[in-house]
Amino acid sequence: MSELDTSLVKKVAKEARIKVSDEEAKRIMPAMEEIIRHFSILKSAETDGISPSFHPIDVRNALRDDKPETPIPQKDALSNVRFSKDGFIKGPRAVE
Amino acid sequence: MDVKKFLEDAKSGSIDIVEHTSKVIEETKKIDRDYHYFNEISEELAMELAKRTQRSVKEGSAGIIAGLPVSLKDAICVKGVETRAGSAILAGYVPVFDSFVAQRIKEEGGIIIGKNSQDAFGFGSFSMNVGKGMKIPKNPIDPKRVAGGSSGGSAGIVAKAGFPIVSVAESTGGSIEAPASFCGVTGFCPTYGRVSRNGLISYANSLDKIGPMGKSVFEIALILEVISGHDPKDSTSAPIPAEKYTEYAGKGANGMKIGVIKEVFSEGTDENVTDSVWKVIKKLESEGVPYEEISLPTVMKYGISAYYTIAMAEASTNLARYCGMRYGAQDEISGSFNEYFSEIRTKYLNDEEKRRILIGTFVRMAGFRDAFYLKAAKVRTMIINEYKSAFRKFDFLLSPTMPQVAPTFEDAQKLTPLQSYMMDVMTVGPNLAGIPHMNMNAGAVHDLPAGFMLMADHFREGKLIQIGSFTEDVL
Repeated sequence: MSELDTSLVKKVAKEARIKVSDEEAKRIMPAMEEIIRHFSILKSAETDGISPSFHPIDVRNALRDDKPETPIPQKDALSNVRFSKDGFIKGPRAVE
Repeated sequence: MDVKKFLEDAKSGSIDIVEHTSKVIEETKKIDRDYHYFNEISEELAMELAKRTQRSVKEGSAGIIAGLPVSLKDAICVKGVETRAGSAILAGYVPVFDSFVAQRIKEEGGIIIGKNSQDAFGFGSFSMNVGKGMKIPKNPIDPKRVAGGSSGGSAGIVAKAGFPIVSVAESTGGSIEAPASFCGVTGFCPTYGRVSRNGLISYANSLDKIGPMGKSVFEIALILEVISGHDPKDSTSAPIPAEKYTEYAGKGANGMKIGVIKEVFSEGTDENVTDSVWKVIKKLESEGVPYEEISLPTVMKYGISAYYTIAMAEASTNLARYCGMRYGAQDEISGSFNEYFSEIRTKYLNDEEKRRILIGTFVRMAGFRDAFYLKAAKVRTMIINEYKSAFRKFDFLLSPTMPQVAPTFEDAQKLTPLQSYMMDVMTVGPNLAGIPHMNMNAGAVHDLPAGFMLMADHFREGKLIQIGSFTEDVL
């Protein structure tokens, strides 16, 4: 497994919204590398003509009737929110 | 007192359910102080349910588990009870709804006494990867050893409690079987889709399954009866009615044949565990249940890699929702959304949560997706086919559950992450294939329980209960 290096670890971490310093990237890389190297054994499996299974049993689209249902009350939706204003959830600014 | 007798007495009115529940809560608190099996003991809810159930007994409308104490893995939502899935990033989260299984337990008169400790989001085989500030459950037989994971608290309380209790746990890759094996209890993981996941905090959607733990196969069958069935709120819930699983117990094992997976008795498996499991196989044979050895080369060669690739890929998307805004850990809001979300996730996720998110993100990234995630999904098809082929010849498959007995905390800490993942070598296969499987106690190795696992084809829960009940009777 030669694909993983600290810059790639940091790139992945940025995608995952987790802060990783250069030192941390160096610390966590050996275990990640060992695991991913082990995963690489999958490459040797003969899978030509085999479809992927995204579930272990046959799962079909399950659509309910197109009728309105009662949503959870606003009070309940906000019951776990620490910061709210005028019945809305307050969040960080979306524009950089 | 066993569960069957307790339920008869509770229903007849000879046990005061309120008084009994109060004693159970006190006893649970005592056990928890030393062994850490609960993230939350729901005393208020338990007493409220006890009073309600007591009334229903008097009115003659009691459910089939009236008065029975039940604990739930922390990842299963219970209305009004803090639910963290063992993770600090969900600190303070109090669901405003019941999961399907919590609702069914309440409907049938069960008394929910609390939420069991676990590895954060189910990420572990030893219950040592708990969220920051949470306690690690200890083995009920030897507190210097692990309880197993990720449903360690569930197995621990079932083994340790002197009162009748069942637990509802969850398995993604072995989280019911591993702790059941290490604690010496019966743990049952049903077919994927047999029990609704509605209200279960996800680890990996295509792998997560809720199942019961108890001291006997009857208890397992009883709880499975309560929590199985179709739920329109879970799109992967199988549209198949629940069965009377308790009626399969005591029916014998006439005409049944077992396939023993030969690769699992290799040098990686403790020879004492091997001996214990072979004694079970030989005992079954002497009681008229023949066996043959069978090879599952794809499961054994690729199981760990396929499982962890898929599980981490799914986990990395599931955990993207935790950003410190709508529930769980929330700090003073500052900076842009990128800065704030990253700050919260970095602060509250533990090392194993971060590791799985990072690897899961990596195997889904452009340039790596086909080689890892897609390839693992194709290998999963091969693994499912391998099991299906085996079940054309055998009613059940059998293997040890874990390659060894519960390790000490000291030994478990020395393992690298990959070495600890390798402990799941026997459990990832049935979990990837979504087939029902059950851990039972094979006996003691130096006073510590060793488990064996029986597996059956999809939706053959009843037959698994039948062979389990027979095995329990003859051992």
